[in-house]
Amino acid sequence: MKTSRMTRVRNQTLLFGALTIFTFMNLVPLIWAALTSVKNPADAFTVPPTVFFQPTIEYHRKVWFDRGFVHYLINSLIVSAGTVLISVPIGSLAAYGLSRMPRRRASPILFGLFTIRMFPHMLLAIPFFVMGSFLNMIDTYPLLILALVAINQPFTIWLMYSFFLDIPRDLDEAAAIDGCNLWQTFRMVILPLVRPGLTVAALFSLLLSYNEFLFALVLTGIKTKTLPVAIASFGGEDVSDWSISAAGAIGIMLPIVVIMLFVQRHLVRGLTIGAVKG
Amino acid sequence: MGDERVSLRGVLEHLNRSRQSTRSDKSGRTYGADSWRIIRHIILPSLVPVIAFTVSVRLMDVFRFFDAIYVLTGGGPGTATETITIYTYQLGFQLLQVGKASALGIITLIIVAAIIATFSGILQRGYGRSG
Repeated sequence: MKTSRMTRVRNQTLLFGALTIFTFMNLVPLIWAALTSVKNPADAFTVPPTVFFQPTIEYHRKVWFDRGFVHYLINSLIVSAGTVLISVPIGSLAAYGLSRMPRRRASPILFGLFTIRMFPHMLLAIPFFVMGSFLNMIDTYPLLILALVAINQPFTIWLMYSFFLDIPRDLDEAAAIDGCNLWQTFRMVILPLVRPGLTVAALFSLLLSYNEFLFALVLTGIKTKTLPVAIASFGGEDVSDWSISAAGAIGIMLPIVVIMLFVQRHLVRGLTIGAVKG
Repeated sequence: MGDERVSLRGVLEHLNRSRQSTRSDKSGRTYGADSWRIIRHIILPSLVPVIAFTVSVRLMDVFRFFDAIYVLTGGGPGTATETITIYTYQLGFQLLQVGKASALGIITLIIVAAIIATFSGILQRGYGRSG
């Protein structure tokens, strides 16, 4: 009995140590970026890196005011919001339908979606670009939003599908007996039960569209350029651009951190509920 | 290749593990297996479908890995860090050889599909068991 408790303590310690190291390794780039963003280029390039230096917020100010960060941020937010607002409703409707089908008929469709997930994005970017040129839609919000919805949909549907599967069909039948039509069953009985799933789906769609680089690079221009593309273009040859890139990287992180703080509670619950039962 | 999807995989895998393992853990212990044997002969085999799924999804991600290479090296110096994805991008959007780039995209898809197909047998087996 005693040995087993000691083993448990030892295992816990090892696990804790490993997790600490892992967390630290993941945080190093973030810390580095945060430090670089408040350093002057002279301090940023010293080897070994200095910890004590004269901090400056000059580069944050430059990024936010001189480099049009706010403009790009608004672009990013429009594109992300558009993607989430289209992607999640379509995804949940499709997933609800699939989860209420006989499995025999739903499986091929789900496998097909998985196959779409397999496509290299580069392969899709070329036709999207060509079609966008034909329709004269390059550098418009709808084109980028539609492209992002298209690549995001397999994930959203799969995720919502696993949530809808957890809801017993008895509930649908009970709702039908009480006189609900299909839409009312979905909207008033089933959908409220998968709210955690909706949060997770919305959040992952948001992360995808906010971070997406390739499509944003190919399909946008001066008017609709999103943050990741803009920040990538900050880092040029000039040495002082490093601090500006770092300040931009910290800036792009802030909105997501704020959103995460708000939805964190729902998120953790949503992840566990969906995965344990799914 | 830090990627936000890794964390989701991790969560799913962990939950899957804790769901399956507790019971078989105990029965393994009853038969006198030590921790290593429980991991090697009970937990690991039961995770094969999950691992196969994770590996195949991560492989897909590798073939679409673009932004870090584009930002850090742009495929250079020379062509030292030029992946098939970067090469396709350069063909399509810098040299404007759209046909060639599309062909390369299709070839990439075939390669990915072939890799996935080798895993799909394992996947199918796991699917049948859990479903």
